[in-house]
Amino acid sequence: MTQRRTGSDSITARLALLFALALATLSLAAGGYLYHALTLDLTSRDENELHGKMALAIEALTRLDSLEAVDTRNSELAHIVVGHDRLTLYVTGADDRLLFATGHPRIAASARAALLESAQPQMFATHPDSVRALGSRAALRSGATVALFIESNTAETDRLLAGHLREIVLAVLLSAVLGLGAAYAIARSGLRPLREMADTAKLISVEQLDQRLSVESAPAELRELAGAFNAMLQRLQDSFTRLNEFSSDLAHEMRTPISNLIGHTQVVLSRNRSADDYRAALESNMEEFERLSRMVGDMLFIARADNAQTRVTKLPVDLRAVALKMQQFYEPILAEKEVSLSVNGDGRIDAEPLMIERAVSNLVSNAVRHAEQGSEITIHIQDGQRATTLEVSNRGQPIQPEVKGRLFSRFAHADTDGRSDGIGLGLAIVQSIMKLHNGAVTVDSSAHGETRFVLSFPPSGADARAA
Amino acid sequence: MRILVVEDDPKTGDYLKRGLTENGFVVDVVRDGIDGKFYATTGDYQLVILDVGLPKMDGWKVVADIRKQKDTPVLFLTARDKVEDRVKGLELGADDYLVKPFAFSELLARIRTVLRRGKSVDPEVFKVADLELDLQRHRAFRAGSRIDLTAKEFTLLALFMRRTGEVLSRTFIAEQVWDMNFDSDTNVVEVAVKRLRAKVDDPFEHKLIHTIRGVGYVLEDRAPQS
Repeated sequence: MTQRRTGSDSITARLALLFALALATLSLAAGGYLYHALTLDLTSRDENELHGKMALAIEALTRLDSLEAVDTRNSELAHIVVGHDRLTLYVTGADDRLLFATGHPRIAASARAALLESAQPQMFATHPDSVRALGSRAALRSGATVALFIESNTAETDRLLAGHLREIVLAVLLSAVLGLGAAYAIARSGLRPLREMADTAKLISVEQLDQRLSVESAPAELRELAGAFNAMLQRLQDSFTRLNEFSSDLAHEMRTPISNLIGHTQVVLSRNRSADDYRAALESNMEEFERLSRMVGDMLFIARADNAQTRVTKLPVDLRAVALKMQQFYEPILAEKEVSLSVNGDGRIDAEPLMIERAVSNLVSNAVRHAEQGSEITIHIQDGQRATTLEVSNRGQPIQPEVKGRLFSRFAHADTDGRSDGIGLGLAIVQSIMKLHNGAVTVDSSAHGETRFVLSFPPSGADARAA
Repeated sequence: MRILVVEDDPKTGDYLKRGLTENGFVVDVVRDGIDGKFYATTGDYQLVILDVGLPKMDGWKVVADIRKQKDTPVLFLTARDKVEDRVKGLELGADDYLVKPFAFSELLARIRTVLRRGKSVDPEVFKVADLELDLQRHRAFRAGSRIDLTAKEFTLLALFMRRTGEVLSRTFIAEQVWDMNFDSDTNVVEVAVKRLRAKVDDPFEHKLIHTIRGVGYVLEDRAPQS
C-alpha cells in the first residue's frame, strides 16, 4: 500500500504518460519504417546505376582492340562516369595491373577477385566513407579479357540518411512531448466529473449529511460509483439520525427520573429524619433506579438491533408453545382483570427463541393493558405459504390514526393523558426484533375497538442470506 | 462460607462486601486480576465473584487459570451483556453470569443457587410456621386446612419455601416459576404474589410472605411485632 502512494497514483499523470508513450512508440515505428524504406530505395537506385554504368562500360570495352587501347580510349570510358563525382571506374588487366582509372580505387586489390565472382554490388568499408562496388570481366575485340570495376562512394547517401534519422528522432521526441501535454489535458478534462464529485463530497459533513451526488449528470462510467456513494451516505445518515434520536430520547427520558432522584435525595438529606423516612426514601429511589436500569437495557437492545449489531442465532421455535407460555405467565393479571386469553392455530419458525418470547410477551402485555374488563384476548397463529403469522387481538379503546404511525417508535405513549404503565419501549422492541428476523409487525385497529397486532415471519429458509 | 470478590470498582466492591457479609458470608475483596487469581487458587473459598474488565489480568484469563487448578464455583459479574460474552464466560468454566446493573437480591439468589448446586435434596414436606407444603402430593396446608392453589401458585409457593428467609427479586421469580428469561415490564409477579397471599396469608393473623419494597419478596416466620 505505502509503496503505491506515489505520484503515479494520479490517474491524470498515468493516462498522460501512457498516452505519450503510445504516441512516441507509434511515431517511432512510422519513422523507422520510413527510414528503412528510404534506405532500401537509395540502395536499389545506387545498385541500378552501378549495373547501368557497368553495361555501358562493357559495351565501350568490347569496341577496343587491345589492352593498350584501354588507356588511349580512356576518354570514352571516362565519359561514362562524367558528372558522377561519387563514381569511380577503373580497369585492371592481368596481375591486377591498373590499366585505366577515373580516380583512385578504394577497395583493396585482394578483395577484387571475390567481387568479380559475385557479379553483384557489394559494400566495402573503406576510409573515410564506405563504397559500394560492382565488378565484371569484359572481353576486348582482340579477345583479351580485363576486369572492370565501378565504385560508388556512399558518403552522400549516408549523409542524407543521417539527416533523415535526425528528423525522425526529433519528430518522435516532439510527438512524445506534445502527446504528453495533450494527453494530460484530455485526461484532466475527462476526469473532471470525478473532481466535481470530489468537490461535492467535500461539502458533506455531519451537518449536511443530506447532500447527495447527482447521479443523472454523472457520466455513465461514474453513475454506479455515484449511486453506491449515495447509498453509503444514506446508510450513514440513517444510522447517524438513529444515534441522534437515541441520545436525545435517552437524555429526555432519563432527565426526569434523575432529577427526581436528585431532588428527593437532597430533600431527605437536608435534615435529620427517622429511620423509617430514610427507608421510604431509599425505597422510592429504588423504584426509579429500576426503571432507569430497565430503560437503559431496553434502549441498548433497540439501538443494537437497529444497527444490526445483534447476531441472531436461529433455532426452531414453536409459536404455539410460546403463546401458551405467555398465557401461563400472564394468567394472574388476566384473572385480576377478568380477561381471558385463548390461543389457536399452530406454526413454526426459525428464530432466536428468547427474542420471539420477548416480542410476544410485549404484545400480550400491551393487549392486557388495553383490554376491556371481561373481554377476550386472542392469539391466533397461522402457518401460511408466504408468511407465518402470530396475531394478538384485544378489545379496547380504538387507537387513533395519528397515534398509529408512531406506535412503534421509541417512547411513543398511546395514552395521551401521559400515564403509561410501561416506559413506551415495548412496541419499539417488538419492531426491532421483527426487523432482525426480516419480518414485520403491523397494527390494525377498527373503529369499534378491535385492536390487532400481527407479527409476520418470512417462511423458513427464505431469509437464509440474513443469517 | 467464604466468598472472594474480584472487582476493581471500589464502590461496587464495598457494597458487595457489606451486603454479602450481612447475609452471613465471609468476604474478601481484591482489586485486580493477578491478586484475584492468587487468592482464588491459594485461598479456601466456596465461591469467586469475578468482574471481566480487571486491571493487570482480565476475568476471562483469571477464570481459565482458576479452572486449571480448582473447581471453585465462579460467578461473573460484568457490564458486558452481549450473548457472545455470556457464552464465552460459561464456556471458560464460570458457573453463572450476571450482567450489571443487577439487583442485589438477584445476586444473592444466584450465589445460593450456585452454592447449593448438586447438594440439597428437597424434603418431602416443607414447613414454615403453620404452613405446610407437600411436594409429593402437591398439596398445601395452613393451620391444618387445605389451601387450594393453581399449579403456578404451587410452584411459586414452593420456591418461596425452598428459599425461606431469602429475598427473591421479581426477575428471579419470573425466571424460576415461569421460565421467563428476560425482563418484562409487566407487574405479573406482583399480581401473582398478591393472589398467592390472598390464599396463604390473608385469612390468617400471622403473615409469612413479606414485601421488601424495591427488592422483592421473602417468605419467613417473623416474630410477631408488637
